[in-house]
Amino acid sequence: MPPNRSVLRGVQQRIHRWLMAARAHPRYRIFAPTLDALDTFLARPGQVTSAAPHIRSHWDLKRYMIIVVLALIPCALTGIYLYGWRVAAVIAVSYAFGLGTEAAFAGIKNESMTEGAFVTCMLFPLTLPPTIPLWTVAVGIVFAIVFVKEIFGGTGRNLFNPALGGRCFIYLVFPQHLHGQVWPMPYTGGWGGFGHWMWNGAHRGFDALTAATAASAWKVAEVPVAEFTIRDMVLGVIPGSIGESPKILIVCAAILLIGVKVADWRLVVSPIIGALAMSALLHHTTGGWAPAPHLALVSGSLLFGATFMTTDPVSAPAMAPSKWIYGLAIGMTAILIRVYSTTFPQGLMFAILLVNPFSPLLDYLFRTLRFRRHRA
Amino acid sequence: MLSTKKAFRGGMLFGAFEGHPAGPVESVALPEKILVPLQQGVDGPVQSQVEVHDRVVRGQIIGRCPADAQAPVHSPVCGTVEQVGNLEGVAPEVVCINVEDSEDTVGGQPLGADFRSRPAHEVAEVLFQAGVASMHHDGIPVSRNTRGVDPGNLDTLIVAAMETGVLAVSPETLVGLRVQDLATGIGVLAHALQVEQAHIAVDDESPQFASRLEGCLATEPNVRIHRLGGVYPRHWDEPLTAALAGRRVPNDGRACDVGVVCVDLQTALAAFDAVVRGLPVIEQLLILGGPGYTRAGVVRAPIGMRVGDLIGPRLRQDMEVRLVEGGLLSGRSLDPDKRVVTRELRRIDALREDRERTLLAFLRPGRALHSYGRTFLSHWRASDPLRCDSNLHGEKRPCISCAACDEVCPRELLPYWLSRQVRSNKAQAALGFELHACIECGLCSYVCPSKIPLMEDIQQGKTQVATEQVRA
Ligand code: SF4
Ligand code: SF4
Repeated sequence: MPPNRSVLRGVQQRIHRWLMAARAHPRYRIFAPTLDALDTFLARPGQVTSAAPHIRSHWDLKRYMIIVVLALIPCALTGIYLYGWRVAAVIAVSYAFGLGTEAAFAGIKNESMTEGAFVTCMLFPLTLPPTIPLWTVAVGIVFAIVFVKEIFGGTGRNLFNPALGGRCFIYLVFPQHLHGQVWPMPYTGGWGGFGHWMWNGAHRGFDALTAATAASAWKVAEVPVAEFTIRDMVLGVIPGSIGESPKILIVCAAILLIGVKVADWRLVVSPIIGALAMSALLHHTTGGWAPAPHLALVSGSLLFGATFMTTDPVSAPAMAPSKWIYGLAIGMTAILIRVYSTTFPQGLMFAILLVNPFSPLLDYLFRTLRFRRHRA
Repeated sequence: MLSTKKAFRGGMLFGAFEGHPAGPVESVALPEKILVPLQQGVDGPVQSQVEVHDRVVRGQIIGRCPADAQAPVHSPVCGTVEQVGNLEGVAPEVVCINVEDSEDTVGGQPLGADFRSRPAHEVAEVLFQAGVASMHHDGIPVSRNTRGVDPGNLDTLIVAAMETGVLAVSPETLVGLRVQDLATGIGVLAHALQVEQAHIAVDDESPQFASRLEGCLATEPNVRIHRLGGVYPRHWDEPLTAALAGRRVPNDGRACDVGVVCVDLQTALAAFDAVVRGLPVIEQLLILGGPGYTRAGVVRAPIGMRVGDLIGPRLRQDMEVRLVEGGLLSGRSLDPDKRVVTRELRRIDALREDRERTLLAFLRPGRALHSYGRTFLSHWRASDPLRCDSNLHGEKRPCISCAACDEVCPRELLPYWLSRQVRSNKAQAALGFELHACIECGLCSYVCPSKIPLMEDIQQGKTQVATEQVRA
């Protein structure tokens, strides 16, 4: 065994001993789930099957979630490049508070920590503006874990997407930090944000304090802002949330997730189709007042949401036809909100949260239909 | 006639796992003692026809049903009866025979190759007396023991000349040079059952076998060969009946309820032996697969041989092994000292018992790791044989409704929903979602990333419903 591996093994065995000790002591039992999470993170459990099927697939939630996190890492790195190292701090705060809350809840309920939190803690900061105060990040992620996930019964039972629920909360409670003058122009060229702690307001001459994301800029001006070309939008050098800017990376991530069957392609494609259809309709019926479909696609958070948010299996429906309806409804609602709402230009977030609670209903409907057909 | 059928919802294709069984068929040395259970296959127990110290001859009937409603049991060897009774926990009634080194054989009167000139019921009687009728899991409804089926309603015979699933063996390996015998055996069954047509399902991977078989069947007008994709559980009765006869096996029912008799290769070969050569069922082809063997393969073993004697010399000593009969996905584990070879035993897999705590397991590239999701390299480029062990490969978690179990279920069920109903003690409600349509193939539990024992839950639901019905 190479030395680094035996060191790892040593650490794992030490944690395992602590875990056993914590389980045996009522006083320390509250730490058991955390130690268990660490232990099983370092080494898979040795548990074997007890009945048929005697063998099981190697696919588990750790693999599932790590792939999503991997797909998000390029977006996070680009976030740092565009807005400086402070973005890394935002992500770190999200992880620290998110995992801390998860561990506390697991300890109190004496249940296992689940892997979904790793994704939530990564997704959440990527949807925030780069200027977000760190304490707001902490408040948001704690809310996401406690009130969007645990209150509903924990992983697998939550009706709403936790990351978006948390974002929605701070959006409504601290609008000054998520709305209006919080969207700076990104760094571009050379080392970009890798040479800076944070965006300093004097960059590139663009009056960042009045800028909004391209999506809301349209809302204000009612015409596409001339500063942005399609190329800028695809490359992500427009103001926007930390991780949502580089569309090209998001498309790569979507292809990866669909390719490895972590994301259901229906859930990726349907919101995009819904959004394109609705914006085409609005564009034509309003005589070009509403943005054209291709602009709706490359501006704002549509692609990011379709790749990472609608595909969250827990809050999405499970049956294929419901997935289509769910996705189409999200895409259409997002465009409607984005075009007509003056207060909430963040259409996609509200659209997903609005449609989330219909998942069980849609599943109920199609389940009933499927088994009625069977019986006939 | 050759045809190719593809449509099949759900199911799963398994690649080559470690310890893949391959030919040729090997013979095993006879043990000193043989323990023949008096209940075998689908049939009920029969009564012993021998006394202690009697000499028996290979092929001789040693157990018979007084009313002749159950197929008789034969001695697989020459020797002396040592004991009759419940021996060593093998079965309630066992005939223990001390084996002699002799090849003498008695059998029925062979009908020879022109069995077609005989009336169907006579051929069926031969199959019954030879024990062939009780070989397959639903048995063959011949005149003596129709098992609740009216033989007049049967019109289709389906022969599964394929295997699917983990460590599936190719038909070439099982049949070897006996392709003509197989073809004749299928003719025997078709004649005995008086079916209108016979379908043979052959794996896509065995085109040569299919064409050889087709050559042998050239004179049979009503036999069709179909090449099917090797998606598990395609070779089971329900999917084959749906694909080849276009009928749905009723929930909790059998293929013969819709006029179809499904048999496997071994049964067809045994039908040939019984009718053409006059040999009763005294041997079995056993598939031995999995990493627990030093040499995986197929053996011809006498009925009544203790599994321990049979596989002992082949088992690897350097690993903990779990023995499973009936397939790794749906079978059950067995005790080699208490299990003997019987008519219904087809395979014994030796699975690696893997309790190792692999470091950072979820980060492995997975060149040899099989999974439903495509997150492991093995999906993208075929390379090493896939790992075959009993580890759960993950932690038990709540259902994330990823719908993987729904996608693989060959019966279009919603395993996650059924499991949820059963777990919240609503098994009755699960009936409305076709709880009883589950054929217990095990795929849903296999794929679940949250490691939920879906099939166990469903089985438990069936038991709950049954006990509630009894109580009511
Ligand atoms: S495979 Fe497992 S996690 Fe996925 S839906 Fe089925 S039960 Fe739930
Ligand atoms: S529900 Fe039954 S038939 Fe469907 S995959 Fe599970 S075990 Fe197989």
